[in-house]
Amino acid sequence: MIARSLELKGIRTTLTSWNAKSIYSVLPPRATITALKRGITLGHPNDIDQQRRILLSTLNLLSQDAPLYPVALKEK
Amino acid sequence: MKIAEELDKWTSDFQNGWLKEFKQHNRINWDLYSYIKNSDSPQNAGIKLSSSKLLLISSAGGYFYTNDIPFDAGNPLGDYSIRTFPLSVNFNDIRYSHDHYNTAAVKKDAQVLLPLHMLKTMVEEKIIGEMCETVISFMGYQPDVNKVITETIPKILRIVEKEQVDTVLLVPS
Repeated sequence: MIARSLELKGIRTTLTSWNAKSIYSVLPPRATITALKRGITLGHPNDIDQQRRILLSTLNLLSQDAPLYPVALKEK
Repeated sequence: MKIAEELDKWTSDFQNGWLKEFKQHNRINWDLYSYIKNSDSPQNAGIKLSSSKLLLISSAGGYFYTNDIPFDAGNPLGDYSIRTFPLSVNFNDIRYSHDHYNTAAVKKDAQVLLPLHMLKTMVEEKIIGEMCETVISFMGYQPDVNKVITETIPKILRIVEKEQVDTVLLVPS
């Protein structure tokens, strides 16, 4: 909902989540979804490559017009 | 376009179900909780990130322990306040008050929820134009949607406007 409220004010937003159910229910403007778990949203501890992949994939959505259907990443 | 569609119905369901159960029996029953269900999402053109100022918002419950009080993590009705800390913060100065996820991973490697170093690197790499020097933090256990809308979001909006950010990255815990 924070993302939606900001986007309505013209602030472009993006987010990543492991909680697909919530994302498909709330419908933020741009989002990536992973198969990670609560508490490690951006990747496993000290797995810099994974964290960077998820971060980049999520940030890259900002260049696209909203709304975007949530993008599922193959990250777990 | 609304932040939350059918908010009146959600509010009625919340007050007569989940909240009533808690007030009458001091019991949390998630079977009585209904989540907001939206059918549409706000429209906006994309933006060039390499020319933009980005703000990070985290729901990890992190706070700068020398300056701030913890979130009310144990409150079954949630905590709708926010904290801020500088992008340059030392992770050793961040504590986490959140009862609804295991904080072991973020204490081991804060970047799993607070990608501060990685975002700064992306500015150096010119992927991101500029980072906002303020990071916004809140505790993501917030069952009352109305309080999110009337308490949490306005506080965030004030900072967004003051800092003149173009874009926001949200990292839920």
